[in-house]
Amino acid sequence: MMIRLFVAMVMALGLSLSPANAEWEPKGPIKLWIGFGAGGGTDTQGRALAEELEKLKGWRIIPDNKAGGGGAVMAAQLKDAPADGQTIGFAINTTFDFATIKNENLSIDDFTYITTTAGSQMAVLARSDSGWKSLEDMVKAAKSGTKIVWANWGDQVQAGAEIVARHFGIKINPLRGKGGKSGMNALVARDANVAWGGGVQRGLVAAGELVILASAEDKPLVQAPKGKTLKDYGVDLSLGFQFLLAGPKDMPKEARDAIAKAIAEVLSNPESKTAKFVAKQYPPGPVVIAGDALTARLKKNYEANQELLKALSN
Amino acid sequence: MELALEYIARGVLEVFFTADGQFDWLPIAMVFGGLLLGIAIGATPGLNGPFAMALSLPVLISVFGHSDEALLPILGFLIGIMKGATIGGAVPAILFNTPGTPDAFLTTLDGYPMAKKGLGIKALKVAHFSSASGDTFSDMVLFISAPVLAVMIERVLDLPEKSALIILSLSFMAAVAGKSPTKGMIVGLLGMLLALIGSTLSGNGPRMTFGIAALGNGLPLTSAILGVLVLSEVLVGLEEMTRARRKKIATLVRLPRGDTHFGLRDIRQLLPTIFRSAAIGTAVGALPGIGTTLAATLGYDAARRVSKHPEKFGTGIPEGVAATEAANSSVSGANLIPVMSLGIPGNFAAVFLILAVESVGDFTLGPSVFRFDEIKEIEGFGTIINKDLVVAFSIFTLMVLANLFNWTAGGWFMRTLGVLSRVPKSIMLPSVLLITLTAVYAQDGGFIAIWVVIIFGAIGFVLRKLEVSILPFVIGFLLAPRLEELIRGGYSASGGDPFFLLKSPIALLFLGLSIFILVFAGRRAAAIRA
Amino acid sequence: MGGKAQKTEAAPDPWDIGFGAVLFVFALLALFVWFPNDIRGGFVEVDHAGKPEPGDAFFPVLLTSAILVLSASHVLKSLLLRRHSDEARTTARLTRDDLIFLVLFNLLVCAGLAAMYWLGPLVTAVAGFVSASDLTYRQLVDTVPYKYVGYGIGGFLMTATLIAWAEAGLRWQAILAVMGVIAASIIVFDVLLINVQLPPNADY
Repeated sequence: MMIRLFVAMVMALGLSLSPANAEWEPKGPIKLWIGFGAGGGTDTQGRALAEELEKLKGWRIIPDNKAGGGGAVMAAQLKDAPADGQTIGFAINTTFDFATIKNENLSIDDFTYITTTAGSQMAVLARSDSGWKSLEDMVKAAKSGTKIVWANWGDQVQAGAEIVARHFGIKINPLRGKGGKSGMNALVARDANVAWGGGVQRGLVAAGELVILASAEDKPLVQAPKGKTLKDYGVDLSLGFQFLLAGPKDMPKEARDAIAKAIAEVLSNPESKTAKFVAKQYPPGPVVIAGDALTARLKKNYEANQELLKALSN
Repeated sequence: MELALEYIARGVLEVFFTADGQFDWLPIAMVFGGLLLGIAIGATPGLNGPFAMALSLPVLISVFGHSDEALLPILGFLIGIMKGATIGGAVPAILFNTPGTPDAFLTTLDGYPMAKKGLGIKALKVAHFSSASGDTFSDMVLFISAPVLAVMIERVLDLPEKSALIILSLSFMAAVAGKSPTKGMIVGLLGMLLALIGSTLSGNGPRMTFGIAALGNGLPLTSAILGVLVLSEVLVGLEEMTRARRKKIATLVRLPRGDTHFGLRDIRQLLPTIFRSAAIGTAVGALPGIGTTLAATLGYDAARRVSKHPEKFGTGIPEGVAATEAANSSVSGANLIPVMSLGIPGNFAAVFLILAVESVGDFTLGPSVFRFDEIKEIEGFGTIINKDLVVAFSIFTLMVLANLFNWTAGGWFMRTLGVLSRVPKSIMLPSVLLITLTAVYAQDGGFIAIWVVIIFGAIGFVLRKLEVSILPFVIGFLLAPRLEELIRGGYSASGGDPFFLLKSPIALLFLGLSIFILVFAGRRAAAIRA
Repeated sequence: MGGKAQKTEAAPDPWDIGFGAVLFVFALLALFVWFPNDIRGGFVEVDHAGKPEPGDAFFPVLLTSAILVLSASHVLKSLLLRRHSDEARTTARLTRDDLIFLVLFNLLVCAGLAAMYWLGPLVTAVAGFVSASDLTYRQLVDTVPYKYVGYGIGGFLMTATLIAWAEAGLRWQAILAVMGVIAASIIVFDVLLINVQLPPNADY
């Protein structure tokens, strides 16, 4: 019920901007390129979505993994695909609003942004047996000589860890892994004592294995409603990410909106496999921001990320 | 100890039951199917086990997908092929005087004379019994030594030592697998270099891709390895046929039929030979890069030297067949020792097992597998467990299963193959090409996979023609990403010391050894040629 | 070719030198042309915390330098250690015939792949012309029979030609066998497996 209301609300925000169109239909099969490896969280979500869109609309949807570079390898190929709505990509917002910054082959303007599906629950995590309850405890430990090894999975989050460290004047050692789950494994295996978690941490936090030191979203996390965000600590950083679908530049508006609408319909059905997966992994539930609202939001992120990189290189 | 037993139990149960407790016939059926296919492939001259594994892998991945549950059926089939092919090779060696696989060459020496004396069926029974015994013996050595070695290695070796160990294994393979160690090492390094095409961990975007976006995540692994191994074999075979331009029809000699009995007395008589050969084959197999052919040669030689009547070897005695078959079959299990304990494949069969493990689910093979982490059940998240270790024990279970099938149905199936009419190579090779291209295209979703197969096929063809072993090339290609990670990690951990590899005595020893091997083997190769 | 077993000093083996030289040149080109243009990261980079870290070029340069050294030493060795003449017969060669075969084979395969790639769109265009529809092949990559046209005919041509080349003629058994293989591939990769595509359909 909560989910449906939430989706309806965001849908109203995103979709009401576009005028009512004659229903668009793809003329052939839709290729859904997933920007991450087979078997991961993005892949699971993408394939469930493809299956249910197929059932709902009768469109033929063929998912295919094009992994690498946090979705950038897929994006580089998507850029040159025909913009007829028959080739779309599934990745996360940083694929488009962060990875495009240093990349001369990719630009944020190369794509048509369709809709988001879910949002992260980005957290700074530690093992419960560390005794730390908040970011301050970790900083205190670091200052009294504990070596901090901070697990991450990509450039942007590694830079984020560095910003946190600089803010508090501590030293950290980054540990790079592949995929969101690698951070959890590093924590549990004691290869790291701090890690970023984008949502996979849910079960471990619920079981009391891990504790949330801070939220890296704009608001507290679902599992720690009273916890502080990084911004509360005075660190101007928001690393929350959204899963999103995009097509090549200049995709017809009707195609963009029809696909977005169909996806919103799948996600707003709480019984659907996709919605269930999202509710479990990325609570509280689907995040649907579509069309022009999404594009505007990504552009804003892009500028913020440029600032972040500039701040770091000083 | 209790924890170890729990891991073993979970590994065994995973083969027989699904996650929700249902009896799971699939992995068992796949082992059986793989074994039968392996025997048939081994019995077909010109085809061998790795070839069939290479071709099956993309098809299996297409069928079962990439999820964690797909791993055991896929591995079961591959292990079945691996084991079946080694016993199948004896069939045409005994009945037609042509080895089915290269390592069965020595089986012809006594096997075919036995067949001519009317003892063909008996020779097949001897071959099967020796082969299955050797294989089982080798597996038992693997089960015991791999975990022990792995635990020791994990305790002793750090990043620089592990890097040096990979370099050492590569130079060892270059030295033993080809005629020229230097050339072998150069192509090994070349293989490594090609594997670096594509993604980086630094976020600077893809490297060495010639601007081809589809290569952003690297050359498709299966396509590259299928190209070097399978396509090059197709090329060599086809070239031969376009030259000869005639259909080879096996001339079937009517063989007399005599004593087919193979009983306890025979077994008691052959056991010392089988045991000796199995020990030799296992020792040889544990070293990376040394093939089954050498094991068979050593086994046969040893049997002849110890025998009271060495002059009878080659005239058709069961000891001759047993000595080679036990030796070449006992290589396959031991070959997995370097994979399980070091993560370094020593032969092509191991390459495909590693490839399967890395492409399906999120598992790895290597020394870190044998960590006996505490098992914790967590509501809503799953079980915290070292999944790799469970899979390792599942692999052992699949091997035992394959041995059981081998002991029971294998011998019977093997004896029916003598009458199997064989598909001519001239039709088979082009068909294999089409299936390979289709399979890689389906797996990677684009022509890029096909181009990679074709280019790597050409590389493999040239290397085969120049008689440079392609094993170091393939192993280098496979191990490069890990070596890069180790070297980067070691360099960073040393605080940017460019000579970090030379600061650890063990790493220094490994590096010194690898140079010594290359120089020494180079000298020896030159001396043999001169 | 004389086959004399005399052990005389002979000229160094051009094949050994050639092998080393080709790889030496390749390594040089890689180091000075390929990598500078195709690797964005540096050899050693300083990370956000100011620590030196191996860059994207680190390992490629290391490996290529090793190839450079080894291939140079290989050339030198074969120049200095003169081999004996009876060795020539055992040295493997890549003959002109081998190269001609390789080129012909690849031409054949590429012709087959080209047929695979273009036949679908061609048939679509013809059908569109006849029935005056404006459908493109991209819209038909999941429609029977269009999606099998390129694979079936292109694959058949490629495989059958190769067999004919090897057997110096085409028997009806071979034709049946190829048709069987193609039918089996279609069943496995297109009918049984739902989310994968036959060549060339993923490229449209």
